[in-house]
Amino acid sequence: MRVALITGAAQGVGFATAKMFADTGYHVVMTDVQPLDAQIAILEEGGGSVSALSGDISSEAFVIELAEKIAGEHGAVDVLVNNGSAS
Amino acid sequence: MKINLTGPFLLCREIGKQMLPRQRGNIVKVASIAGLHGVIDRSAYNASKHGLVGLTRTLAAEWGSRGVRVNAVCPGWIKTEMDEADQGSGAYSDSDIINRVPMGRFAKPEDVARAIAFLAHKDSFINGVSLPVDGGWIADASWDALRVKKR
Repeated sequence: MRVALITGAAQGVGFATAKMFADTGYHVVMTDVQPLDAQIAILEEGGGSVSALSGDISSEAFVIELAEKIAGEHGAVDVLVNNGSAS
Repeated sequence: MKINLTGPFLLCREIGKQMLPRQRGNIVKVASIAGLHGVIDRSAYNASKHGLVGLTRTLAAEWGSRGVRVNAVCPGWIKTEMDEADQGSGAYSDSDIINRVPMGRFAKPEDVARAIAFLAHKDSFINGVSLPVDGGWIADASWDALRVKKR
């Protein structure tokens, strides 16, 4: 299964993108500073394959942890969507 | 700046380490029309989004021959929680945005998601672009009264 990593996935463009990739057969890894339990529940209810890790993408340690988790569980990321943003 | 630019830089570096050995991968950054033009009172945000556009072009040039494509979308104003916070601070109103956009509405999150999916298609030859998803905002240099009169 192809893997998409979406940052800032809790709401807005990030969640809409996560839903779009989940609906088209990707395993979606969501990340955000916020908890993502509700988003996982919504996408799984729609038949999606999803997982999540909450944290701060501006932290080098978190980004390395996230990449290692994905490598361990899925091998590699096929699509990275850098959406996380602050105004 | 740390969230908008350092974060994507770190993610590209670490996830790129997974993609490049496989000679396969696809990165889409969410920049902004503020990455293509200036917007008053938003210098830090604009600099971060211009940085994303530059990072997109540079990585596309570096990694294109190694099977990894890098593109960006540049949305106009979107109806999201971030917009509600901006409007709450009095920065602008709905009509300010609607009157500025040739298509006469805010972007929706799904508009941007569709453009991301388009750029992320695995068989695409598109690499290094920063695609406006703005209802024609940056194409239109008309003054607002003229644009609104034509509706």
